[in-house]
Amino acid sequence: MPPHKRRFLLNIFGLFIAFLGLEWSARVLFPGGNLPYAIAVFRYLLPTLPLLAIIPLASRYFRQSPEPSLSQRRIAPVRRYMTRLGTSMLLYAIFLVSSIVALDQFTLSLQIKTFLAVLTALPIGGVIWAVARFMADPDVDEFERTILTHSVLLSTALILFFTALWGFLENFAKAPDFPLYLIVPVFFGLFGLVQPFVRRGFR
Amino acid sequence: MKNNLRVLRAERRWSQAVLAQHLDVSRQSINAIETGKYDPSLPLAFAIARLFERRIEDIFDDQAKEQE
Repeated sequence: MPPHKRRFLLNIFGLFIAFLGLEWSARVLFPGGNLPYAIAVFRYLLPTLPLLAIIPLASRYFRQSPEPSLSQRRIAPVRRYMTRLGTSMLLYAIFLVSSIVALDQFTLSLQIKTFLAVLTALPIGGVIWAVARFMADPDVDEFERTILTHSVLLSTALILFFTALWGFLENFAKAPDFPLYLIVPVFFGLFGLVQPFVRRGFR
Repeated sequence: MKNNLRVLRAERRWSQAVLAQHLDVSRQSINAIETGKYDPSLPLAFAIARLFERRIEDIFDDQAKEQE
C-alpha cells in the first residue's frame, strides 16, 4: 500500500476513534435530556466535528495520489463532486442535529415537525444530486462512468429486492420494522461494496 | 470487442499508463479496452486511431466476436 494511502486510512481511523471518544464523553457528561438548547446543540454537534475533517483529508488524498494518467481535466469533476457532497453532508449534519435537539427540547406543532422532517431530508436530495451531476459530467473518464452506472443499477436492483423481501418478512413473519430513511445509507453502502465486483467484471 | 491495441502499444514500448496519459483516460480504461471487456466510445476510438495513425477498423475488429 502506498504511504499516502496508509496515512489517509490511518487518519480516517483516527477521526472515527475521536468521534467515538467524544460521543462517549458527551454521554457521560450529559446523560439525560432536558439540556439547555445551546448546550444540547453543542453536545450533539461536537462529536460529529472530527468526521467533517474527512472532507479536507479526502481532498488532500486526491491531490497527492492522482494516477499519473489522470489530467487536471479528469480531476476537476472529482473536486466539484467533493465540494457538493461535502456541502450537502455539512447541511445534513446541521439540520439533523438541530431537528433532533428541537424535537427533544421543545413541544412542537405538527406543522413545524413536518417542516423539520422535510428540512432534514433535503440535503439527502443534495447528496443524490451531487452523485448524479458527477456521473453526468462530460469530463469524467468514460470507463469510470460505466463502472459507476453499472454499480448504481446493481445496487438499486439489490435495494429493490431487499425492500420487497423485508416488506413480506414484516407482514408474514413479524420481522422488525425497518426505518425507511435507512435505505439511503444502505444504498450508498451497497454502491460502494458492489464497485470492486463491477470493476472485476471488466478485467 | 477484439482489438490490437496491446500490439500497437508494445510497438511503441508504451506502458498502459503512458498510453492512458496520451489519450487522457484512466489506466484501467486501457486495460479494459485491451482485454476486450470494454468498448470505447466513438470519440475515444477516433482518438486512439489518430494517435496510432491507423483507421479505426485496423485497430478494432467487430467481426471477431461474431465468428467465435
